[in-house]
Amino acid sequence: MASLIPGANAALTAENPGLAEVLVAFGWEVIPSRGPQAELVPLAIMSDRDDRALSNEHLVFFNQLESADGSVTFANESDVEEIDVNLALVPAEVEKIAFVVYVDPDVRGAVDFSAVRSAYVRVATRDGRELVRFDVPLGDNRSVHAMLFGELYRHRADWKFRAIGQGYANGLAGVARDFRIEL
Amino acid sequence: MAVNRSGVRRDLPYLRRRVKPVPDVAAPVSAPVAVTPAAPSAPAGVPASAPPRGVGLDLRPGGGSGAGLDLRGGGGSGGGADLGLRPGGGGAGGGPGAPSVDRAGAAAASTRPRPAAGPQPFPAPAVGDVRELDDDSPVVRLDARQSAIGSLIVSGATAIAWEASDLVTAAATAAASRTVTGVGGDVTGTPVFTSGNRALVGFDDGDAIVSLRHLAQLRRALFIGDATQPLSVQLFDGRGFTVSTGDGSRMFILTLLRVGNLIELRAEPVARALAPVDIHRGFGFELTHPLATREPRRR
Repeated sequence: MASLIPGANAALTAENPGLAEVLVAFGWEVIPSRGPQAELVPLAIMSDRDDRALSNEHLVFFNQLESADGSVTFANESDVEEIDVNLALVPAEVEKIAFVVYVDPDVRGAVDFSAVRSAYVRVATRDGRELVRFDVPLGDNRSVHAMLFGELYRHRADWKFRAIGQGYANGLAGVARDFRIEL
Repeated sequence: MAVNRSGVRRDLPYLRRRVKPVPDVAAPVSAPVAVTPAAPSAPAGVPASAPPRGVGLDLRPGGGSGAGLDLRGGGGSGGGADLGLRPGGGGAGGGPGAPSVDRAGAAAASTRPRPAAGPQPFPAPAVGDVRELDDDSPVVRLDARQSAIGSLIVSGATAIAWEASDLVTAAATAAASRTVTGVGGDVTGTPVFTSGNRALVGFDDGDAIVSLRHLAQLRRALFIGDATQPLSVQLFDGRGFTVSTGDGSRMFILTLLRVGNLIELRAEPVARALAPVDIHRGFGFELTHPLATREPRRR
């Protein structure tokens, strides 16, 4: 098991020959509140070499459970939330799969990361063997409404995972602009 | 058992089965899916001798000679398309040891069965297609993102009712002050709260709010205005539309129905004189009584 720092990457398939499927799992804690609480939502975005999402259908989250090609599917098992990626099925034009976690922008408040603690993303095999983990550094995140936790990306014939931890002060609107999707 | 298409029963005048024309489905079934021919001698698709009306789902244990899908455990000898549904058969691409990093051919070479596409809903206008719901344009369907992100805000509603997925039902009227229920109005029935400590449907600052993060908990809802101003609907991305106020005798209310992972919003005309409780009843809302709970006494 490797633990990453922001910006670091790990070779997944090069070091694990035959690795065909991975699960990308997310976890966090939210400081309890009597009032509205932040609700975090993981989102996978399949993008091309220009970081442009292939289409609005190439997003996977709780209400769009599977990409059209069947390579990325939303699961909800032992971690808070999980997304399965079948590397063998990812279309050749997909260079990168970005994993964003956003706080649901409910108009009744609690829409930032300020109450979020112990957030992580980890990549594991389908049978649960952890390959790499990234504990997302969370400082003063009162202005952060969405965060790019990390990304799977192609490197020649292999797949790698990069830890990022980049916050978006403009939330999903910023994510949509960066990946050129309609949200 | 083969479907009997032979006739229409005359002894049940209230129950009529219409025989729909059967399209030739053999060709599309065999083409896009990873299909292997059931028999070496017969190509996938319709044999030349296949009867034109015999194209159907064949579940007979002994097999058949039609050109339908063959779901038998041991395969079939007819001209049916074998979808690889036999136990132990099918895909090999997802298993351990499968070549995963051959970029050029990986996606194409994988034979993991694609998920079956569910029934598609009938075409309906999207949010940007309609500015106002009325008799001419009564319905709008949100896409999967619009149905699930943030809040659905309905301004101008004075009464709302909702039914959760577990059939718990409640109604609320807009109140000047926030009540202890957390729904933000005067509530009858059983309010539903989400894990985010928000009402699944409720009032906030005079607007009716639906928590879309928890769409799966919601089955349907009604939004009733006072007919003097149009209801207006706003989504996370700022887009929206209004609902016509109606005419002298009718007004429009807004109904929300969750269809799978999508929301359909429809303007429904009702008599202007109807009270909200009558509208609830007319739409089949029977409010459930909240279960009184009490902490166990500690000795």
